[in-house]
Amino acid sequence: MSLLIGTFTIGLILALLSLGVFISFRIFNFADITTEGSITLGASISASMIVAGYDPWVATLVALAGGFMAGALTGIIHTRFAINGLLSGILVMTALYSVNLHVMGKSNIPLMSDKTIITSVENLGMSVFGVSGNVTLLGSTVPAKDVFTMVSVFFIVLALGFLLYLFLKSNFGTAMRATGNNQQMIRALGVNTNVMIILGLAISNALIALSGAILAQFQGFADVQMGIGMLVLGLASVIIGEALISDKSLGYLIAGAICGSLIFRLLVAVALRLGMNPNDLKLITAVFVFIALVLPMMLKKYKKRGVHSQC
Amino acid sequence: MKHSLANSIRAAIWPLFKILVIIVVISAALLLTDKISSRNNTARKRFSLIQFNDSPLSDLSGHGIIDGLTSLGLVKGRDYDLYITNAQGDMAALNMMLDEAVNDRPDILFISSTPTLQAAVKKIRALPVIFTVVADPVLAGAGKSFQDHLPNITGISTLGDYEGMIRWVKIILPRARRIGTLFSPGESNSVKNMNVLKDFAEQAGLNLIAVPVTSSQEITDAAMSLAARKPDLICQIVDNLTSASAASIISIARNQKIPVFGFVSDQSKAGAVFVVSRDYYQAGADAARLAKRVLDGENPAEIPFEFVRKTDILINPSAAAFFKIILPKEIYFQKNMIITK
Repeated sequence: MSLLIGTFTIGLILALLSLGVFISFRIFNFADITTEGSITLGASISASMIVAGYDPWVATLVALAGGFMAGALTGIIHTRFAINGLLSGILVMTALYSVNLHVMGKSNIPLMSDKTIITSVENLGMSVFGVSGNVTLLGSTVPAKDVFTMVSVFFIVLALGFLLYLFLKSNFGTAMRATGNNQQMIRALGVNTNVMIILGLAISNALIALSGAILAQFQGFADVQMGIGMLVLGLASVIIGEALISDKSLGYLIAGAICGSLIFRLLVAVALRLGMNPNDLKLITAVFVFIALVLPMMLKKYKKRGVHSQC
Repeated sequence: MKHSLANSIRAAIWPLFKILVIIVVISAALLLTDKISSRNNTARKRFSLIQFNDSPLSDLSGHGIIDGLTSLGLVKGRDYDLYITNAQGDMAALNMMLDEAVNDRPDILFISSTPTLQAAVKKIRALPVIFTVVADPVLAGAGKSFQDHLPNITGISTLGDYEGMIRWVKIILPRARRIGTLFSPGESNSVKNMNVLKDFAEQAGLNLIAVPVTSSQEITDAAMSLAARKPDLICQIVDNLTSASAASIISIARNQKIPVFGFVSDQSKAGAVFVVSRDYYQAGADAARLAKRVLDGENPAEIPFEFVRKTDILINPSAAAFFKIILPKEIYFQKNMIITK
């Protein structure tokens, strides 16, 4: 049960990352590697502010703003200086490594007994529901605070997913999506596509930095290396989600990105549970993701063939 | 009316049906295997070892733990089972591994490296945790001091013997004024080690030139730029990045006629003139010793953190001859001295 709760919590925290990647990858059609810097930026800003005694919610909001600026910078480099999107992301990501070291002043900040947003939702949950210590869930005993953390992260992700949906459905958001689809057409309609790209990447990286800020507070430390490989995880989540939904309209794509992140983490958990050679963890994860993507398609084909032979 | 509401909800959920089914199925599978994974049925002890990434340091300490347990009379497969997991650098996976350890309830949870210890400090409250390959457990949040620490956590600090090294530098190369090292600003271990070396060096009147390096591709360039600044010797501190590429640092320094002193025993064979090694293998063996004490009923809260017990001195006479360094006789009288051929 602890593993399942932990997996869901991490999966939901990283769902914010996949929402961010969804914007850059699915709307603007490029893999924005700024991600690997901005998730660490979110973590390092929130951690250093919390250690300096700021309110954790304020720290988290500042982290979000930091991600917004990082994304905007990538957008500006890409649009104003006509540098390839991938390279713009690489430039900002590379620069952020040093920025993150400066923000933290060292490579790693532990948040051991500091008040974080995680501890405050835990305390809130425990005082509202009047439970402390352990609760029994589906026959196993787990710490109540872990359950509250998972539930609150769930609501945060739900709320942000819904807000993102409303935003992208609005006139402005529609213009932004259209920018990704057909720049010339939307420019002909009088929309400044550069502003759309800059703002879109800014929002994307704000979500990613928020994910990093929450992750740091959940795991109890920020580390300058925590962003490595995160873009790939985000892309995997978005693509898994997209492959497994049958209606590709906006709302379902957003829900798919969130579920995709959960599935990816669950598959890693299964690989861990099987207790195989630790060197094989990544291989097994890759195979599982492959199976999760291919199995539904195979089943469909098989079903169709079955119906056909009956005729 | 009610019927149509239910219908529209179903219609709204339907496109997500497949993905939700997959989530529920995997979750159920994880829940059902919870009981099986708590392998309580055997008489053998159960140990877990969680590593953060693949490095010579984690490998050496892992072997040290197993051999250390054997020398204490605990044989793998007969007296205990050891489950090793390695996050391969993925911090999210690291958190999940610790969750799995909470499920699994091993008798001893071995922890290797600083990020793993930090995640364990946050998550593990009820299991005895023994760490190794952590330079500064206090900085990592495991306690206020080596004596006053979290009640369930104890372990071995692998801070190198920088004080001893500087003492030897003064003996072997009394005319040296500038020593150099590469360090990895991204690793808290590395920064800590560099600062400790710097403090001891400055006390002894030596200047430290520290060149940062952030990835393994940059090692060659960084080593060249360090060599170009003409230190009298390179005194390479320990971290995951540079210890994996020590051989290339040593060969670049050799081309520039700069001797390398090191802190990892393997580096002696690779051509380091002089190595003061608080061995990572020994760190594992020491962790095994603490584990035995906990198994015998001692409370981890009562066991202070320790440094690695044994310090070895390794000399490589052929490398010394290459740099025309005459090793003083007193080295040969050290009890813990090993000559590399």
